[in-house]
Amino acid sequence: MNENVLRNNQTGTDESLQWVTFQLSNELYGVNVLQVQEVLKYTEITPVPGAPHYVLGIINLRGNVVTVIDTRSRFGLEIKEPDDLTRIIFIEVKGHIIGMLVDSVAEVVSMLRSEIETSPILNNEDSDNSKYILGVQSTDKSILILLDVEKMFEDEEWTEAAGF
Amino acid sequence: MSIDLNDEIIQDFLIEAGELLEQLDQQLVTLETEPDNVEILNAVFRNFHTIKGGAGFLAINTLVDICHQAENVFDVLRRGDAVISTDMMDSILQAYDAVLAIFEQIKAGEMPRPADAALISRLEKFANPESATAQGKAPPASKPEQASEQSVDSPAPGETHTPAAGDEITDDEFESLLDELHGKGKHTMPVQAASKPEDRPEAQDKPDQAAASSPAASDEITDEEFELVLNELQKQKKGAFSETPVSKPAAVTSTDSVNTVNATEKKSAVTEMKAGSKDKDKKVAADSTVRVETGTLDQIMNMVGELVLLRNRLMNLDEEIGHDEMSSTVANLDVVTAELQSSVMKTRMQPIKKVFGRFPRVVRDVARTLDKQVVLKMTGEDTDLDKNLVEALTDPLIHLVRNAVDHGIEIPEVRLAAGKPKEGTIELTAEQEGDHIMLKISDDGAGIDANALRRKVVENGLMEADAAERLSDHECYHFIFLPGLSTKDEVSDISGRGVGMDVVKSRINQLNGTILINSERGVGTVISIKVPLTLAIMPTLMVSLGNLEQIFAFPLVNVNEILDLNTHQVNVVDGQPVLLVRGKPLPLYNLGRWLTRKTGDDSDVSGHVVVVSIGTSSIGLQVDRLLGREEVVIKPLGALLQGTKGMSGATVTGNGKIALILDLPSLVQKYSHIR
Repeated sequence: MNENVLRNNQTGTDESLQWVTFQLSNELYGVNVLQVQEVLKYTEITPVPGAPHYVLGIINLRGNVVTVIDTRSRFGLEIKEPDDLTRIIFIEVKGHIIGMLVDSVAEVVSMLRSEIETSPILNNEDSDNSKYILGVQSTDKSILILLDVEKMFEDEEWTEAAGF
Repeated sequence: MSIDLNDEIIQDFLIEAGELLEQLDQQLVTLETEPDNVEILNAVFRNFHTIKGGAGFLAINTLVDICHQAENVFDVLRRGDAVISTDMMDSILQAYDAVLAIFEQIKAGEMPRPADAALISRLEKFANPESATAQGKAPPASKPEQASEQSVDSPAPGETHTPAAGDEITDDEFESLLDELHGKGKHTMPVQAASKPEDRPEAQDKPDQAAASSPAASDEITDEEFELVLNELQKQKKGAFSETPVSKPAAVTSTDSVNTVNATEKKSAVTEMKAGSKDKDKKVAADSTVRVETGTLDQIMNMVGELVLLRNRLMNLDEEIGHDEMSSTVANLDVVTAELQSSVMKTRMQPIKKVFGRFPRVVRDVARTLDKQVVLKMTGEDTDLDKNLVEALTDPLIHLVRNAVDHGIEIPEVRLAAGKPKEGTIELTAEQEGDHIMLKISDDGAGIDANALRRKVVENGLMEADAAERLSDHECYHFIFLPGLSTKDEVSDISGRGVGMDVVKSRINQLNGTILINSERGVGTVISIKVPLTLAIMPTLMVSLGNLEQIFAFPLVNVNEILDLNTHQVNVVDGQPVLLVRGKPLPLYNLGRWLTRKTGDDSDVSGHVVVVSIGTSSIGLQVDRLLGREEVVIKPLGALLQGTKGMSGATVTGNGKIALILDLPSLVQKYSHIR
């Protein structure tokens, strides 16, 4: 559904979208609220030997085994020890549940489609991570980076897994 | 025109005919080995006939045609007018394959293409053996064959002709006529109409035959012919599903006609009656079973799995709390859960016969292509195992059996020269050993040439010559599982069906099974496969590693024994720690160093060693703590982690923690260079 956000924007329908915002390092990011299953406090994560570096491990989410990734590590930021504010955002991507470890979760914000601007770095071919950015919303003080989680997890990771 | 798969009638037909086809496959091959077995002959005839009946009802004419011809052939055989030949069997098996193919097309929802005309004409030829024509004094003798199963029109030419020929009926002829009627009695119209209206459309293919035979036989319309016309009319109405009212008058008319015919007809009607009631008995028995979607069973199985986990957790809690009443309740829960688990498992159990049943055909076909003579012996066909396992085992087993015929069994001349009986023997055995199934495929063929394998491995650059030399023959056999290792010298093209031995091995590994090869030059090869009874719940050995005490689970099927490291001496050979176990060296690895960030010093010799078997080799894995045996429900790792080497899944342990389930073959492959 996220993929359609920009396209629909161009066709002129202007509806309200809600985003869960979270903090990573000094930046504020947002994921579409419809993709968020739940947010949990940091709990013990069982490491999986041999897993990709950005995969922290797995946790027991009410009887289901769910993979948790280190979002910082995924975005190339330095690793931070979990603290009281650390949260795991569980998002659903194509039927899979994935946990994203983030520094803190801020709030849910609403915005109109028309308020979303395309990312200034969207055309930068060199930046591997820019393609995961759906757009940005800038306010007077800060800028909110909206993530396309589907893209984030569908790319190499899925194919890596399928190639096994 | 396409077929509406939502139609319940079609679905029923597909299920029922599917079962019949399965039976047929086995019966056909049995028949070849026991050509005189009348029971099987009749069974085959009946099965073809029933499929034809259903197909006719659904107006799948291609299927009707081919079943009809096959049925004719068997009718001839049944009456002893012909003897089964290998050629005939080939054609019949081809016909069977054609039926299967048509069946698949129907399943796919398309109207099947017409069957191969050459095949049909070949069948026709077998259905009209020269022997019959030669033996018959009068032309009519051969006529019935053509009409063979046409219960109705066969007496017609017989009767109209006999007087015309002016011959008196000899006892023999009368006898055979009786037999004929008797055999077909089952399909005589009157009772058929009353008992099983669905079967009626078999009449569909009659008119052409009747048209062909009756004018030739006589100008007068006999009662039988009249009945036929009625049938035909009726059939046309069938499209509108109005057969019941129409068939009633038909039945009445034909009963009338029976009176005008001779007593034989009546007799056949009686036989038919019996057959009809037998059918009904069967129906009643079938009603006590229910068809359940596999998906539903899977769901139940999953939930029972969860229940088992909860029970485990409760039992853990109980040990901590130690409350008397609680303990007894938990103990009861334990018993009930165990029973529930085993009965749910039972519902998913299928006899391995389902796989084994295909082998006679496989063996026969391969042996015939290669001009080899092979006897297949099967034992333990009734051993039950999980449905998913039965399906998952089919392809690997077929591959192994084909291999056994192709590579194992020698051609008759070679066998005779080696002082062995001309016929090779392949033996398939299945037996339950505790919580796993042991499958063995043994042949008394040439055995595996370990030296040839050594040569190949060296040629392919997979191993140094001296290293290969040091390997025992037993270890060499393992090489046949290496992907891309061509052993062309001893391989013919027959087993090139796409599934290589490496695939066989990985399939068995996926099932948490193990595969072992034993072979002796000139004596034969035994391939043993050990798989768990079910895939849903796996017995494991839990261990913990490292300072964080992370839990890992060994599939119990891989575990040979557990040793205390303190009581065994560890030597270092070529940089590799080796444990001497009963005089045999066992490579020793520290699992903690592989799987946790533990960096401790090398002289750490505390803890336990879990001896596991991987393929033909055994290794020792040093673990920090043993936690004990636990049955676990395997949960797949998420998409991001699927395919992680060394891990086959995860599970939630009794105390709510997560344990990773080890996949030993890939684990060793990935980590064994770390010492």
